[in-house]
Amino acid sequence: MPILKEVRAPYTINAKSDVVEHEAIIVRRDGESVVVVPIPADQIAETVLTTAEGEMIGALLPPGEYVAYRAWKETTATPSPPVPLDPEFEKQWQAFQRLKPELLKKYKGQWVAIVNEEVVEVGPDFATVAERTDRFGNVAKCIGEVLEKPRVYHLPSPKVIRRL
Amino acid sequence: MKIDYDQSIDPPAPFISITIAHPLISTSEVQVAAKIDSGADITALPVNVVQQLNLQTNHFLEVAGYDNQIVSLPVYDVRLTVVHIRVRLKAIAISENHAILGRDVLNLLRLMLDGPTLTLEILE
Repeated sequence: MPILKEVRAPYTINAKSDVVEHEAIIVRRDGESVVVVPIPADQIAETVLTTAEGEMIGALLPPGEYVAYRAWKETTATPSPPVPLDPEFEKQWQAFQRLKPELLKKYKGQWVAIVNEEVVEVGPDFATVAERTDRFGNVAKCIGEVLEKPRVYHLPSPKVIRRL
Repeated sequence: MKIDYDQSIDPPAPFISITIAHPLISTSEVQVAAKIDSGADITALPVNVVQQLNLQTNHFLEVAGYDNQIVSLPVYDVRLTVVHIRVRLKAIAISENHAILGRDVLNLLRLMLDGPTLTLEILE
Protein backbone atom coordinates (compact mmCIF):
# COMPACT_ATOMS: atom_id res chain seq x y z
CA MET A 1 0.00 0.00 0.00
CA PRO A 2 1.50 3.39 -0.95
CA ILE A 3 2.21 6.01 1.67
CA LEU A 4 0.70 9.32 0.62
CA LYS A 5 2.83 11.46 2.87
CA GLU A 6 4.26 11.58 6.33
CA VAL A 7 3.42 14.88 7.94
CA ARG A 8 3.26 16.63 11.26
CA ALA A 9 0.89 19.29 9.97
CA PRO A 10 -2.49 19.16 8.21
CA TYR A 11 -2.15 17.58 4.78
CA THR A 12 -4.62 17.65 1.94
CA ILE A 13 -5.13 14.54 -0.22
CA ASN A 14 -6.82 14.35 -3.56
CA ALA A 15 -10.18 12.72 -2.95
CA LYS A 16 -10.36 11.69 -6.61
CA SER A 17 -7.05 9.88 -6.63
CA ASP A 18 -6.96 6.13 -7.18
CA VAL A 19 -5.35 5.65 -3.79
CA VAL A 20 -8.24 7.23 -1.96
CA GLU A 21 -10.89 5.61 -4.07
CA HIS A 22 -9.54 2.09 -4.03
CA GLU A 23 -7.25 1.74 -1.02
CA ALA A 24 -7.61 2.14 2.69
CA ILE A 25 -6.17 5.12 4.53
CA ILE A 26 -3.89 4.22 7.39
CA VAL A 27 -3.70 6.87 10.05
CA ARG A 28 -0.46 6.76 12.03
CA ARG A 29 0.42 8.71 15.14
CA ASP A 30 4.00 9.00 16.41
CA GLY A 31 5.07 6.26 14.02
CA GLU A 32 2.50 3.86 15.37
CA SER A 33 -0.37 2.65 13.25
CA VAL A 34 -3.46 3.44 15.22
CA VAL A 35 -6.30 2.75 12.85
CA VAL A 36 -7.24 1.73 9.34
CA VAL A 37 -10.16 3.60 7.87
CA PRO A 38 -11.50 2.24 4.62
CA ILE A 39 -13.21 4.94 2.64
CA PRO A 40 -15.23 3.57 -0.26
CA ALA A 41 -15.63 6.04 -3.07
CA ASP A 42 -19.36 6.26 -2.49
CA GLN A 43 -18.75 7.34 1.10
CA ILE A 44 -15.99 9.87 0.51
CA ALA A 45 -18.41 12.72 1.19
CA GLU A 46 -19.36 11.30 4.60
CA THR A 47 -17.68 12.07 7.86
CA VAL A 48 -15.59 9.11 9.05
CA LEU A 49 -14.63 8.82 12.69
CA THR A 50 -11.23 7.33 13.40
CA THR A 51 -10.83 5.28 16.54
CA ALA A 52 -8.10 3.43 18.40
CA GLU A 53 -9.11 0.81 20.94
CA GLY A 54 -12.55 2.29 21.11
CA GLU A 55 -11.31 5.82 21.76
CA MET A 56 -12.02 8.48 19.19
CA ILE A 57 -8.74 10.08 18.14
CA GLY A 58 -9.85 12.11 15.18
CA ALA A 59 -12.17 12.46 12.25
CA LEU A 60 -11.88 12.61 8.51
CA LEU A 61 -14.19 15.30 7.26
CA PRO A 62 -15.42 16.31 3.83
CA PRO A 63 -13.78 19.64 2.92
CA GLY A 64 -17.02 21.61 3.23
CA GLU A 65 -17.58 20.42 6.79
CA TYR A 66 -13.95 21.08 7.68
CA VAL A 67 -14.20 24.65 6.37
CA ALA A 68 -17.41 25.16 8.37
CA TYR A 69 -15.75 23.74 11.49
CA ARG A 70 -12.71 25.99 11.13
CA ALA A 71 -14.95 29.01 10.60
CA TRP A 72 -16.94 28.08 13.71
CA LYS A 73 -13.75 27.68 15.73
CA GLU A 74 -12.48 31.05 14.54
CA THR A 75 -15.67 32.95 15.28
CA THR A 76 -16.69 31.29 18.51
CA ALA A 77 -15.51 33.32 21.42
CA THR A 78 -13.53 31.49 24.01
CA PRO A 79 -15.80 30.38 26.86
CA SER A 80 -13.02 30.72 29.42
CA PRO A 81 -12.71 34.24 30.81
CA PRO A 82 -9.64 36.11 29.54
CA VAL A 83 -9.26 37.70 32.95
CA PRO A 84 -9.66 35.33 35.92
CA LEU A 85 -12.97 35.74 37.70
CA ASP A 86 -12.79 37.77 40.87
CA PRO A 87 -14.17 35.69 43.78
CA GLU A 88 -15.94 38.84 44.96
CA PHE A 89 -17.73 39.05 41.61
CA GLU A 90 -18.76 35.41 41.96
CA LYS A 91 -20.44 36.31 45.27
CA GLN A 92 -22.41 39.09 43.55
CA TRP A 93 -23.31 36.75 40.68
CA GLN A 94 -24.53 34.10 43.12
CA ALA A 95 -26.55 36.76 44.97
CA PHE A 96 -28.16 37.74 41.66
CA GLN A 97 -29.16 34.12 41.09
CA ARG A 98 -30.33 33.68 44.67
CA LEU A 99 -32.42 36.87 44.59
CA LYS A 100 -33.84 36.19 41.14
CA PRO A 101 -37.32 35.00 42.21
CA GLU A 102 -37.76 38.18 44.24
CA LEU A 103 -36.25 40.35 41.49
CA LEU A 104 -38.65 38.88 38.95
CA LYS A 105 -41.59 39.92 41.10
CA LYS A 106 -40.34 43.49 41.57
CA TYR A 107 -38.13 44.38 38.61
CA LYS A 108 -38.93 42.07 35.70
CA GLY A 109 -37.57 43.48 32.44
CA GLN A 110 -35.34 46.00 34.21
CA TRP A 111 -31.61 45.99 34.94
CA VAL A 112 -30.31 45.71 38.48
CA ALA A 113 -26.90 46.11 40.08
CA ILE A 114 -25.77 43.95 42.95
CA VAL A 115 -22.99 45.19 45.24
CA ASN A 116 -22.15 43.55 48.56
CA GLU A 117 -24.78 40.93 47.69
CA GLU A 118 -27.58 43.52 47.78
CA VAL A 119 -29.55 45.30 45.09
CA VAL A 120 -28.18 48.83 44.93
CA GLU A 121 -29.60 50.14 41.66
CA VAL A 122 -32.46 49.47 39.29
CA GLY A 123 -32.88 51.04 35.86
CA PRO A 124 -34.19 50.67 32.33
CA ASP A 125 -30.90 49.73 30.68
CA PHE A 126 -27.32 48.64 31.31
CA ALA A 127 -25.72 52.06 30.79
CA THR A 128 -28.01 53.84 33.24
CA VAL A 129 -27.45 51.27 35.98
CA ALA A 130 -23.69 51.10 35.33
CA GLU A 131 -23.31 54.91 35.57
CA ARG A 132 -25.30 54.98 38.81
CA THR A 133 -23.13 52.31 40.42
CA ASP A 134 -19.92 54.25 39.73
CA ARG A 135 -20.34 55.86 43.14
CA PHE A 136 -19.24 52.56 44.70
CA GLY A 137 -15.89 52.81 42.94
CA ASN A 138 -14.05 49.94 41.31
CA VAL A 139 -15.68 47.20 43.37
CA ALA A 140 -16.98 43.81 42.28
CA LYS A 141 -20.52 44.11 41.03
CA CYS A 142 -23.06 42.20 39.01
CA ILE A 143 -25.22 44.12 36.57
CA GLY A 144 -27.90 42.00 34.96
CA GLU A 145 -31.23 42.11 33.22
CA VAL A 146 -34.06 40.58 35.21
CA LEU A 147 -35.63 38.02 32.91
CA GLU A 148 -37.06 34.56 33.49
CA LYS A 149 -34.90 33.13 30.72
CA PRO A 150 -31.64 34.85 29.74
CA ARG A 151 -31.73 36.80 26.51
CA VAL A 152 -29.66 35.26 23.72
CA TYR A 153 -27.40 37.68 21.87
CA HIS A 154 -26.55 36.75 18.31
CA LEU A 155 -23.11 37.19 16.81
CA PRO A 156 -23.67 35.21 13.64
CA SER A 157 -21.03 36.30 11.14
CA PRO A 158 -18.84 33.33 10.28
CA LYS A 159 -15.36 33.94 8.97
CA VAL A 160 -14.54 32.19 5.70
CA ILE A 161 -11.33 30.20 5.86
CA ARG A 162 -9.82 30.28 2.39
CA ARG A 163 -7.08 27.73 2.83
CA LEU A 164 -7.37 24.24 4.21
CA MET B 1 -15.38 61.38 6.76
CA LYS B 2 -14.56 58.52 4.38
CA ILE B 3 -12.58 55.44 5.34
CA ASP B 4 -11.31 52.81 2.91
CA TYR B 5 -12.35 49.22 3.50
CA ASP B 6 -9.65 46.90 4.78
CA GLN B 7 -8.63 45.15 1.57
CA SER B 8 -6.17 42.83 3.22
CA ILE B 9 -9.09 40.51 3.97
CA ASP B 10 -11.24 38.74 1.43
CA PRO B 11 -13.81 40.06 0.75
CA PRO B 12 -12.81 43.56 1.88
CA ALA B 13 -14.64 44.83 4.95
CA PRO B 14 -15.42 48.17 6.58
CA PHE B 15 -13.46 48.92 9.76
CA ILE B 16 -13.46 51.95 11.99
CA SER B 17 -11.15 53.00 14.80
CA ILE B 18 -12.67 52.94 18.28
CA THR B 19 -11.33 53.74 21.73
CA ILE B 20 -12.11 51.48 24.65
CA ALA B 21 -11.66 52.78 28.18
CA HIS B 22 -12.01 51.35 31.65
CA PRO B 23 -15.31 52.72 33.01
CA LEU B 24 -13.71 54.20 36.13
CA ILE B 25 -10.06 54.76 35.23
CA SER B 26 -10.12 57.44 32.55
CA THR B 27 -6.38 57.25 31.90
CA SER B 28 -6.68 53.62 30.93
CA GLU B 29 -7.73 53.36 27.29
CA VAL B 30 -6.89 51.43 24.13
CA GLN B 31 -7.45 52.20 20.46
CA VAL B 32 -8.47 49.29 18.27
CA ALA B 33 -9.87 48.66 14.80
CA ALA B 34 -13.49 47.49 14.80
CA LYS B 35 -15.25 45.65 12.02
CA ILE B 36 -18.71 47.01 11.19
CA ASP B 37 -21.10 44.09 11.69
CA SER B 38 -24.79 44.90 11.49
CA GLY B 39 -25.55 41.21 12.10
CA ALA B 40 -24.12 41.35 15.61
CA ASP B 41 -26.48 42.17 18.47
CA ILE B 42 -23.62 43.14 20.72
CA THR B 43 -20.14 44.62 20.51
CA ALA B 44 -17.17 42.34 21.05
CA LEU B 45 -13.63 43.29 22.05
CA PRO B 46 -10.33 41.52 21.48
CA VAL B 47 -9.29 39.48 24.48
CA ASN B 48 -6.02 41.40 24.75
CA VAL B 49 -7.90 44.69 25.19
CA VAL B 50 -9.87 43.17 28.07
CA GLN B 51 -6.60 42.02 29.62
CA GLN B 52 -4.79 45.29 28.97
CA LEU B 53 -7.51 47.34 30.67
CA ASN B 54 -7.91 44.74 33.39
CA LEU B 55 -11.66 44.79 32.90
CA GLN B 56 -13.59 42.77 35.42
CA THR B 57 -16.52 40.54 34.59
CA ASN B 58 -19.82 41.86 35.83
CA HIS B 59 -22.23 39.38 34.33
CA PHE B 60 -22.58 36.51 31.86
CA LEU B 61 -24.42 36.64 28.57
CA GLU B 62 -25.80 33.88 26.42
CA VAL B 63 -24.30 34.30 22.97
CA ALA B 64 -25.18 32.36 19.82
CA GLY B 65 -22.94 32.07 16.76
CA TYR B 66 -24.04 31.38 13.19
CA ASP B 67 -24.85 27.77 14.05
CA ASN B 68 -27.09 28.88 16.94
CA GLN B 69 -24.91 27.10 19.48
CA ILE B 70 -25.26 29.05 22.68
CA VAL B 71 -22.35 29.72 25.00
CA SER B 72 -22.31 31.66 28.23
CA LEU B 73 -19.66 34.38 28.09
CA PRO B 74 -18.37 36.91 30.59
CA VAL B 75 -19.45 40.47 29.92
CA TYR B 76 -17.42 43.61 30.58
CA ASP B 77 -18.45 47.16 31.39
CA VAL B 78 -16.60 49.68 29.19
CA ARG B 79 -16.69 53.17 27.80
CA LEU B 80 -16.45 53.18 24.02
CA THR B 81 -15.71 56.18 21.84
CA VAL B 82 -16.40 56.08 18.11
CA VAL B 83 -16.19 59.23 15.97
CA HIS B 84 -17.77 61.84 18.27
CA ILE B 85 -19.94 59.45 20.27
CA ARG B 86 -19.04 58.16 23.72
CA VAL B 87 -21.16 55.42 25.22
CA ARG B 88 -21.19 53.16 28.23
CA LEU B 89 -21.90 49.60 27.22
CA LYS B 90 -21.48 45.94 27.96
CA ALA B 91 -19.23 43.94 25.66
CA ILE B 92 -17.96 40.41 25.32
CA ALA B 93 -14.42 39.26 24.47
CA ILE B 94 -13.38 37.41 21.32
CA SER B 95 -10.18 35.78 20.15
CA GLU B 96 -9.49 38.26 17.38
CA ASN B 97 -7.10 41.16 16.90
CA HIS B 98 -9.97 43.49 16.07
CA ALA B 99 -13.25 44.41 17.72
CA ILE B 100 -16.69 43.79 16.28
CA LEU B 101 -18.97 46.79 16.33
CA GLY B 102 -22.51 45.47 16.78
CA ARG B 103 -25.86 47.15 16.42
CA ASP B 104 -25.79 48.31 20.03
CA VAL B 105 -23.32 50.95 18.81
CA LEU B 106 -24.04 51.07 15.07
CA ASN B 107 -27.59 52.22 15.76
CA LEU B 108 -26.15 55.43 17.18
CA LEU B 109 -24.35 56.27 13.95
CA ARG B 110 -25.21 57.23 10.41
CA LEU B 111 -22.99 55.20 8.12
CA MET B 112 -22.96 54.62 4.40
CA LEU B 113 -21.31 51.52 3.03
CA ASP B 114 -20.22 52.19 -0.52
CA GLY B 115 -19.37 48.75 -1.79
CA PRO B 116 -18.33 49.59 -5.34
CA THR B 117 -15.73 52.11 -4.14
CA LEU B 118 -14.92 50.06 -1.02
CA THR B 119 -15.39 53.03 1.29
CA LEU B 120 -17.23 53.61 4.52
CA GLU B 121 -18.62 57.11 4.99
CA ILE B 122 -19.52 58.47 8.39
CA LEU B 123 -22.37 60.91 7.91
CA GLU B 124 -23.03 63.83 10.26
